[in-house]
Amino acid sequence: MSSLYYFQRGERTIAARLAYDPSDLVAAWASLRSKMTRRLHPDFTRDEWAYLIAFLDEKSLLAPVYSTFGEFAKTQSIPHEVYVPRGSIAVWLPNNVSLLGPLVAILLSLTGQPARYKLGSRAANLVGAFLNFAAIETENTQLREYIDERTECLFLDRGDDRIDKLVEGAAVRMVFGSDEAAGSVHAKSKSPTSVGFSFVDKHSEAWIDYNHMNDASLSELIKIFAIYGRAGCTSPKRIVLLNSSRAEAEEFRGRLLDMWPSIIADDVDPHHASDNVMACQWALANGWNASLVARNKAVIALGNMQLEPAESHLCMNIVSCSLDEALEYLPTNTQTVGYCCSPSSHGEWLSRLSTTKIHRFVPVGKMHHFNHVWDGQDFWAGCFQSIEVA
Amino acid sequence: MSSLLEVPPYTADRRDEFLRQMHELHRLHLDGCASYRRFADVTTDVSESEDLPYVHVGLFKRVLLQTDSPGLTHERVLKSSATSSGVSSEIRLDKTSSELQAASTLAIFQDFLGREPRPLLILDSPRSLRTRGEMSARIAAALSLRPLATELSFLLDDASDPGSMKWGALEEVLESSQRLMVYGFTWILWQAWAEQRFPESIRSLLLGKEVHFVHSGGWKKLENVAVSRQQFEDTLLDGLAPGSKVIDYYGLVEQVGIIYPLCEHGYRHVPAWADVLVRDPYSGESVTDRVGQLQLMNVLARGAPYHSVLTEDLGRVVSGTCECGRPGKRFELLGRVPKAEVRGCANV
Repeated sequence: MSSLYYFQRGERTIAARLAYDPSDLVAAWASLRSKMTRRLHPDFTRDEWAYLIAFLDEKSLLAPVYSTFGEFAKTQSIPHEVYVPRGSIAVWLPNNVSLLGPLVAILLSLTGQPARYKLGSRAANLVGAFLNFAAIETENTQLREYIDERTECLFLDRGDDRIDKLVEGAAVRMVFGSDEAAGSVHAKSKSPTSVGFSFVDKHSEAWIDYNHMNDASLSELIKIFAIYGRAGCTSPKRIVLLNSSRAEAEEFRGRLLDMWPSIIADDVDPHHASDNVMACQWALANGWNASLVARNKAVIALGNMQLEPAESHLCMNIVSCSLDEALEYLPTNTQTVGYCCSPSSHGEWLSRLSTTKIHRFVPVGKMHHFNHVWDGQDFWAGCFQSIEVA
Repeated sequence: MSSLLEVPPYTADRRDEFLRQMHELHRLHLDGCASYRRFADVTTDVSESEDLPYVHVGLFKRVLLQTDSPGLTHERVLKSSATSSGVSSEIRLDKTSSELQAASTLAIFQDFLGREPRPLLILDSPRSLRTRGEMSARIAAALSLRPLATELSFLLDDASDPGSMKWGALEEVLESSQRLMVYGFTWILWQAWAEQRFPESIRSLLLGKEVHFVHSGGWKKLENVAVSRQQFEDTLLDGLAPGSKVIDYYGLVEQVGIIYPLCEHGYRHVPAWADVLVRDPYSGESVTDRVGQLQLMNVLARGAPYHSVLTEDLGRVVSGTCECGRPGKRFELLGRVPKAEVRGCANV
């Protein structure tokens, strides 16, 4: 049974028909944090679990609600606009998907709308694992009811007939995956009033002003890279070092090599250690100046934009270049540019980047931060449609 | 011809000569292969095999390595099956190395199978041979037995269909020969022969024959269907003459010419013209007392630097003398470096 909730955005009153009180849902999510700090879930890495704990901050969770509807209203008056849910949401998550699944599930829960998560048969089901954990830990809450009654994980391979039914029944389609996967989902027979969001192949990179970097920013860069290597859509696939000479770039590379083992204490999996040996040889063969981090934890390679990079999971490719060159070689599918620079460089870089198609320009340490606006699309607001009230 | 190939394959005390020849090869590849030179430039002389640089096996999937030198004629590209990654390793073969590699495999096979030639039945399709300038690992492995064969018969009509057995061809060989060899990838040998429903006429012809089955390619698929080595061998040898046997050998396209058959006591022996080291995956150090990544070396590879290859196979060097009587180094093959899922978004 849904109710109207009232919000205030400036002078305008907004009403939203919601199945659950978003404040209650957010409080239930936030209540998990203390439990999570005591115990690491076996399906998650320590970094992933820590990220989830940070993500469940009450204020951050309310951001999509405030952004879409406004602040909670103290009194009810005739609204200028009423938001109503579009209906059932279907989310496609690829096999190797990481935290995106649980993060999307958390945000979508705040819409109160039924959500079905389509995973590949080889996928590690982090969505299901996290929703199960949350359900167990939030007994007798609206969140528990939402998870039990309105969420479902489906393991379907390409070609499964049930995918057609999933598309037909969805008012909102959200596809994380390749261009091809998204195109295929949205091309299926669907309701003409449904909406679709595609979060497809993306490139991200970090831009570092050599004159502005210090041990703290290097440490941040190492941590951000080590989480997913080059595998995440927000992972810095290339480190663009600006305002440095060749010798300074070499020094930058050397500092990363020296610092890495103290920042990332754990060994990587043996096959990643082996893969790094390969990547180092690959990079060197291609003309990069590459070295292995101690205990084969990663490869740090320095080169230029013209050299073919070693496309390997934990190979950090650093390119020393001018701002003009950085812009010239910025791929058209760039999602995030993480920055570490002075305020004056920030202004100049942003001004130049605003002529490109990037979606995010954030500090390096926030490159992996996920929110309700992704790839420039406010998918959370898109789960509602509005009724204009005159 | 390498002087090492003039001695029996399993011979102790040839380490100095091996190291000298490896050194020569390293120099050849440094001079002739720019890519190799960029990552393997060891300027000081080395006193042990473990000091020589290696090429990671995965590099052959990313970079086409080729060594150019006067007298080297490159012929074909040998391609791996690409079963797990979808990307093939590519090895540039040259005339000189091919001759050495043929001599190497022949010497090793003769040590395990004897010298008397016999018909060779290949569980593959002749169509697999018909790619100009390229050769699949499967066909290369089969053809390495050719010097031991009086005749070759490809038994499958379709290489991807173990049920496409050419019964007529098999019957013809069985009618004329008491001793024969059968080669197939491990999985295909199981499906196309061990699990095969032979027609009664063929079955009766097979009874009492001496058959040497030779297979390679690994056990992963058989493990997935819970077939043990014992069950595999018992099924193949059922009803055959004494002296029949199953030879499982380990080899990589990146080490073409060097094969490591499993001896009757469960070990793999290193021929005089090769060496095997075990390296710690994290430190890269050569270790002798524990399991690590196998590094395989040989003195045969001239056309490209596949003379020293760090594999992603796990193994352990075993000290002492093997009960099978073969002298020299021996090792156990213990699977592959376990792969963990790479988590990310979609665009890996």
